[in-house]
Amino acid sequence: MPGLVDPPLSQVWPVRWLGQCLTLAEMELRKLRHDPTELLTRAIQPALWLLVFGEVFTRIHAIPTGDLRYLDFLAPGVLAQSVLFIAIFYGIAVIWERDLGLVHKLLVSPASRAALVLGKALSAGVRALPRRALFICWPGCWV
Amino acid sequence: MTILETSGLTRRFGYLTAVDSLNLIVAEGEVFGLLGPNGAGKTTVIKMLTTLLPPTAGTATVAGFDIRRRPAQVRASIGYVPQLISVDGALTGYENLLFFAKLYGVPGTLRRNRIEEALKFAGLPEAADRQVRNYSGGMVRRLELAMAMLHRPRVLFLDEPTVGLDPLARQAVWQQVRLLAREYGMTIVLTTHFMDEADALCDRVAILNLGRVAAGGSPDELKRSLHQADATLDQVFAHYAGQPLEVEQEGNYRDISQTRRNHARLG
Repeated sequence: MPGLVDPPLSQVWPVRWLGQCLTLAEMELRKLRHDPTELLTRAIQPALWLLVFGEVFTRIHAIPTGDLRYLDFLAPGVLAQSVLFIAIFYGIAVIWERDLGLVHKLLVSPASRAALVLGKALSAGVRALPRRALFICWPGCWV
Repeated sequence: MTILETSGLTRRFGYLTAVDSLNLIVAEGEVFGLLGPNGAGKTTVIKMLTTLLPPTAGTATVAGFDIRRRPAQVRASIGYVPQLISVDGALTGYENLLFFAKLYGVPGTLRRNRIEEALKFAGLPEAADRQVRNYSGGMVRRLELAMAMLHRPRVLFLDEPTVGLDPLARQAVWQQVRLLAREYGMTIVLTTHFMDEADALCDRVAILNLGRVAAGGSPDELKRSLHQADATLDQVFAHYAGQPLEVEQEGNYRDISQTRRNHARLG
């Protein structure tokens, strides 16, 4: 009979828990694959900061930063700003999902609450990866 | 066998009593309809039974588990299709199914078969690799129902399953609901304010008005109780609710804006 209920979840809870977190992150990666332009658009803002302000102010020495180059002085700030923006943006995205029914459906699933929150955070982290890559690879930062 | 039972289930929002000591019994394998106008408390009942909202007083058991004391077990044995859209538009139909199969812990060996079966059930095998944001309203609903059957829940809750659908898409959804009840032996609890829907699908209905059960029984029983030849469920509703359908209780602003937005998306 096809109506039989699945046996109780067999995995031990930490495995199951981690699996749930990773599932949420995996879906985020799949979304990114469908729409890779986001990789570019999300990287524009910090790139502008580093490019326009960073490079220019480094060259004209308009702001005294001691022995430190202006770009090195600026980078942590832009990094912090990036983190803040991404956190706000994905926080708001969860609220939008709540206005749809998706969050309700997640809450009715047997996934643990903590796994859902961590999974969402992990997803935002996945989305922020290209920005991080940009910072690490920014040529000016290496000199 | 009883699979769902509420005893004195009550929910208050401030001074407003949305659900007022509700006593319901649903037998296993039944299609049970909660009827009523907007604001009658249907959605609040569903939210309490799916553990989204704690009751103010009273309790209920779903699939043998108390919703207050064992919410995790309740969640593992039910499926839920909310009124609002609950699929991710940025993912494909297949990925949406995969997502929930994984989240519900459907074992890896079963997953592939289950997803294929669900796609067939929804009539979407060809559209499986298209992003859901390009689906029509009917396709979205069919996908949502298919997602709810992936983990073989014992009780399936459908909150206004056909709201905003055209007649053809409604028929397709009805067909799916009947199939779930008959072929998969699921108990289905659905809310609706369409009387023809209740007539076509439900074995038993309860008419809610202002958070209380105004009348209950099979659609035929209710029609007969009016002592009037060829009474429709609409007339039954008007009789028990004391007013014709959807006159005064239009729901609040938030409900309306959500419903309209939903209509816009599905349309």
